[in-house]
Amino acid sequence: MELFKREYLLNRIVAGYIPYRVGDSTLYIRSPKQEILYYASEKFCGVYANAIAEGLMTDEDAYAMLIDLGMWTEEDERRLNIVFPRQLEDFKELLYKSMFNSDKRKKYRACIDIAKKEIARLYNIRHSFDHATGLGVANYAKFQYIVEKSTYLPNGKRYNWEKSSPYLAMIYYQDKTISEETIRELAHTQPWDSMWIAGKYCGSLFGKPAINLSLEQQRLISWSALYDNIRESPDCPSDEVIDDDDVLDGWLIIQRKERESRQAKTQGEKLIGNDKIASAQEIYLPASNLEDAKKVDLLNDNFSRSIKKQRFAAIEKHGQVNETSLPDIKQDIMIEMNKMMSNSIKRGR
Amino acid sequence: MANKRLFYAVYAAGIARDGSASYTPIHGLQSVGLTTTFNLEEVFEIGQVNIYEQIETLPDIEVTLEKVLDGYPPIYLLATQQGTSSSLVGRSVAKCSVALSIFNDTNDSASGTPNTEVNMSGMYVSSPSWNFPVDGNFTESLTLVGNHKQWKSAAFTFSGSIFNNLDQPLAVTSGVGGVNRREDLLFTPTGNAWTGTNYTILPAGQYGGIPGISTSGTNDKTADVYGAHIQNISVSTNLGRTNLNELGRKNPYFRYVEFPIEVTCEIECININGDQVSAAEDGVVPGSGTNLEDKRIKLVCREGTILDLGTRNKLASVSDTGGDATGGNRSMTFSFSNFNYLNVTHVQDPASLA
Repeated sequence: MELFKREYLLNRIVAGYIPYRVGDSTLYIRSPKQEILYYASEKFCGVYANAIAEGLMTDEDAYAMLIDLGMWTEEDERRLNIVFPRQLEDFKELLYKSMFNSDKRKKYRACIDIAKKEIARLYNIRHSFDHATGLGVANYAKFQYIVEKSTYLPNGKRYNWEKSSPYLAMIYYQDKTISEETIRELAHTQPWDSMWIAGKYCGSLFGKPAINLSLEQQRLISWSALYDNIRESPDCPSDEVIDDDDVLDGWLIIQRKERESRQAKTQGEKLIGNDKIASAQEIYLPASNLEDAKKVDLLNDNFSRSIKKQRFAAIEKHGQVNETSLPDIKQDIMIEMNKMMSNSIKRGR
Repeated sequence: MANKRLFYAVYAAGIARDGSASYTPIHGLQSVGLTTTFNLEEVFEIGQVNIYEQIETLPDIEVTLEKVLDGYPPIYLLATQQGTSSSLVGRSVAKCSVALSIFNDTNDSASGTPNTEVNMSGMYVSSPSWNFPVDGNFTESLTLVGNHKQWKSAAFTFSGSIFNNLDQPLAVTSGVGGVNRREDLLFTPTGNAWTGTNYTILPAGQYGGIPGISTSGTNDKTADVYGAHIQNISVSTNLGRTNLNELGRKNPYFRYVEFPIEVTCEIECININGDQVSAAEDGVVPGSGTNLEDKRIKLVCREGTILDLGTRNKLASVSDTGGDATGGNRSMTFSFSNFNYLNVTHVQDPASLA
């Protein structure tokens, strides 16, 4: 994004309002005050309770309707919530790991695009009846209340919506919402970078307490803090990684997995009180379901995990495998034999 | 061999008599450790620097299982179903098979069903031990040794109820406590159906016993205070196993125990009046010229496990720790040992050995 575009968006975020032109006049949709947000939440609760009492659909009803109409399957639900998000994470991780292989990078970027598009497509289908559900109606009422109560005339007086509908203003406001990618770019580039550093020394950035910050201001600060933490990390990635959202996500995913693995390891080792078991080559911990099994699996480092993968593949292929036929054991025996061979040659000299 | 450590999620573990394919699930299992060692032997020939042949000899498999004492039969009893009696000698001849049902690659699995099994057959008991700590659960740990380990993708047959997330200690469902803890070491007969008139007997106070324990071995209460304040008890033995090989067979046809086997029992208690153990050149036991007497040890848990170490346990050492400037209680650890006597019984023993 060019510098002037970043400047424009940043100034808009700092100002905290969006000008909305209706004919010849201009209205200003400001960032909602805390009080308005509070009443909007109250409105949401009231509308939601009424909607459910009047028999509007719940999310479960909408889900059932999608399935009845053949628009959705359980497999689609799994793909939306588990398969594609997991694949997206995997591809981002692979993208980070293939920083020095442009061909692979291209391939993984294409996969990431496909996964994102597929998630968006499935999300749209899954939520196509949201407007008719209790939650959807309540959300709409809340948003309408926020826009109505946050629209002002140039003279500073609140605009009166009694004679017109705020519908177009709501669409306009929603369209103007700054995307996550843009906020991330703003957070670690100029001119915000200088403002952020200055703010750390001078105090308040937007001249108001955190509770009164607009949503976009909050998002900008959150991302800036994250980028600060990344730069302060002992394993700080290069600028090239930081500038690329997907690659940086890959780095963050790896860091998260390493942290989880470390935590699980410490926790797991505390569980094994028996010294003999703690010093064994293979440790088996009880797990009654897949979720627990995943936690146990976290105790393995990457090397152990790859050995397990090889072993399971061999067992699956052959059905029944002796210990000596496992790929890693075969390799171990070979290494040991080579060691003995080289020792015997050394002795012979 | 390469230094690696693999963690597996185990769904169920079972033990079967040697030769049987029907495994009894081990309830209350805490963890399992498995180590496989491959042994290579090099053969040289005169006139050649390089190795003539490298022979892969028998792999050594060692598996250690630990469970809480919960009313289900101890692992030692499951592993020695082919024993001839409940004594150490009677149980030492038995062989068993161990099966572990494990989860495959958790990332690719969607069903949550464990689909890989590891099986070890021809396993001998090598080292059983029991711990009765003042804090925490009573546990049993058993090490088995063997030479055969196999992986497969098909499922083993488990007899009896398998885990369905509703499993609970048999001691709870049978009304004899739950997972046993410090309050479940019985110093007096409770009369429950599983332990009957049995109760714990510890080495009596005089001549190498525990101060506070009565001459009959009971830990009696006076004004609701026990005579000895026992903190931890551990019982262990190591059978060691020596291969008996024969021509025509790679695996040993038997792994015998090199008797005599020492059975040790360590008892830690709070130091109230010192260890009261006397040692003199002429001995302190009247008319014997010795300092120590043989003592009886028998441990009885509410959930049914009874460890009888016989009447010929002798004090091997006593140590006194703690009570330093940083605070804490002084404690004494009495270490007793006997040879070849360890009778383990449980009302749920699948072989009902006595």
